Amino acid sequence: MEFKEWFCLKGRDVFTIDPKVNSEDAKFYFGREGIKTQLLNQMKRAFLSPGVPKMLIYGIYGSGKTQTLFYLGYMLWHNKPSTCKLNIYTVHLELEMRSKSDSHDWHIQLMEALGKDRVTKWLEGLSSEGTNFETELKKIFDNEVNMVEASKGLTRGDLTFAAWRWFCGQMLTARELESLRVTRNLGDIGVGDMINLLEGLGRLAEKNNEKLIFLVDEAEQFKNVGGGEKGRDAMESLHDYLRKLTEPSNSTVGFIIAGTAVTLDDMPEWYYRSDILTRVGLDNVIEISHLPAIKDVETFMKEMLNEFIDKEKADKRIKEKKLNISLETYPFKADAFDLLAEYATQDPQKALPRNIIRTINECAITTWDKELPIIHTDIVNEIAPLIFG
Amino acid sequence: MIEERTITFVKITYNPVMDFFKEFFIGEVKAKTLIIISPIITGLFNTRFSIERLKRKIDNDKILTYIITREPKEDFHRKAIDILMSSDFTEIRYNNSLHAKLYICALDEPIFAILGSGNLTKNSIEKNIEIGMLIFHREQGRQILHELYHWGGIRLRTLKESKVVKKINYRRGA
Repeated sequence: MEFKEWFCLKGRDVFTIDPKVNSEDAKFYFGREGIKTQLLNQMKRAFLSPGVPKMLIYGIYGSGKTQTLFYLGYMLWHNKPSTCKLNIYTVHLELEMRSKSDSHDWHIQLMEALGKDRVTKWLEGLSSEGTNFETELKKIFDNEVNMVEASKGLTRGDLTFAAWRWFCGQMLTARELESLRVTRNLGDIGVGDMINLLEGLGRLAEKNNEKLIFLVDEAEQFKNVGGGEKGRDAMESLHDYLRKLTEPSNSTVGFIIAGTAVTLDDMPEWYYRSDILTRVGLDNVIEISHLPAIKDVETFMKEMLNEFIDKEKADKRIKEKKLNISLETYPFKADAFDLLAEYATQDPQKALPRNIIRTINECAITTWDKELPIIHTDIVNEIAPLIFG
Repeated sequence: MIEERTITFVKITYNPVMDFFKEFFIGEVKAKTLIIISPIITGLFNTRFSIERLKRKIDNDKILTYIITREPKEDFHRKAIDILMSSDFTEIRYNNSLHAKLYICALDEPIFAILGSGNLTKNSIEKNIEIGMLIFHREQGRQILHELYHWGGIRLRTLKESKVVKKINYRRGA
């Protein structure tokens, strides 16, 4: 019998959760009622003021930051807050930084994650409204002529590529700049230029009935930046970029940034300076913690099993095979379920969703290997020390 | 000789098994998990990276190692498996439909992998014409590694045909 049949899994092959492999897994957020409520409340408020969410998330490795980002992305798409009147367009980015990466590198990654096709689609949407295209572009980009010209270039076949490179902040040759009818490269006069463009793109999205929100993962990559004077300059430019994004005046481009850190001051100093935290607001700086209490782990596991197990099939299996276990903990015997929760909380630093999910899956694989119908304590004793030991 | 080419997150290699082992044995990463998917495995005796040496490294570094291969029909395959079986840190599964060759080195996340034609054999290293892609944990490589890790570490292990013949025996702290 196949693994999924063996354990009466409902529409899935294994017990793991991985939104990067299976996008439907983004909807799960187990055993975190407190954090879930806080996240969704902050999101709801954010659309009233400042207009978009601006959030910094941190937690130790395996605490569920990536799942949090995917979950928020899922909720924004499928069940957006009533305070947001527009559709929400989320852009996922896994950040990558090196020692000399600066705001240009961050900008280009955001732009590439957003994609030329989406921006072009928004521009086409604007031009099909029947209003004066150029006038609308001037309003959107606050009369910034270069941005207007580059936007026009993006809709012209022969200039599309150069225009997109300009949007990304890449250095164009004098000839390319001339053909685009722009006077300088984006970012030549500072970081504000790039943020102005992003905010303009946010307004362009709104004209197309969409709110633009970036979901940025792996912010710990910012720690790679540094070393020498150039490194310091690079960090300052990243700080400026983030600070300008957090300005109250930015009501069009949202961001939720998640990174691995035990405490916020594990991140580079520029990331959590008071000017950033004040603008973001401490309620929007959210720690995703481990699951310290046995009760937390049990809730996590029960909610997970409740979603993953086909209860009807499992109930039939339990009765037919006289398994004498509760449907609530199936496929774990009650004592095996309790034992796993105990293992998970022995070392609070290891009481992480990633470890719990892995243990459940490995226990199930071992049970299936042995052709046993349910997970006993001896299997938990075999597997859990490998992961929590 | 064709030159190897690197496109930041992926390198084409013409000796995939050797290149994987070079990264694994000599590289900076101290692996926590190793996945070896190879239909045929031999002892690689008298080569730079023998199975005996691999086993020693797995034991010394306490690397949880998941091996999926075909059920050995030949002595050379059986001998190599016997060596790997003698480690407390290896899980071995037989799947006779296996044709894929994939090698993944992971910390908490996969760090690099080889996906290619090479079996874990001396012929693959020294004689055969092979090709593979060495994928690194950067840029688009991260998503590719993630999917390969999920496939090799979970999906393939939970296929009905993948019969376990040895589990990991190690007890941390024991």
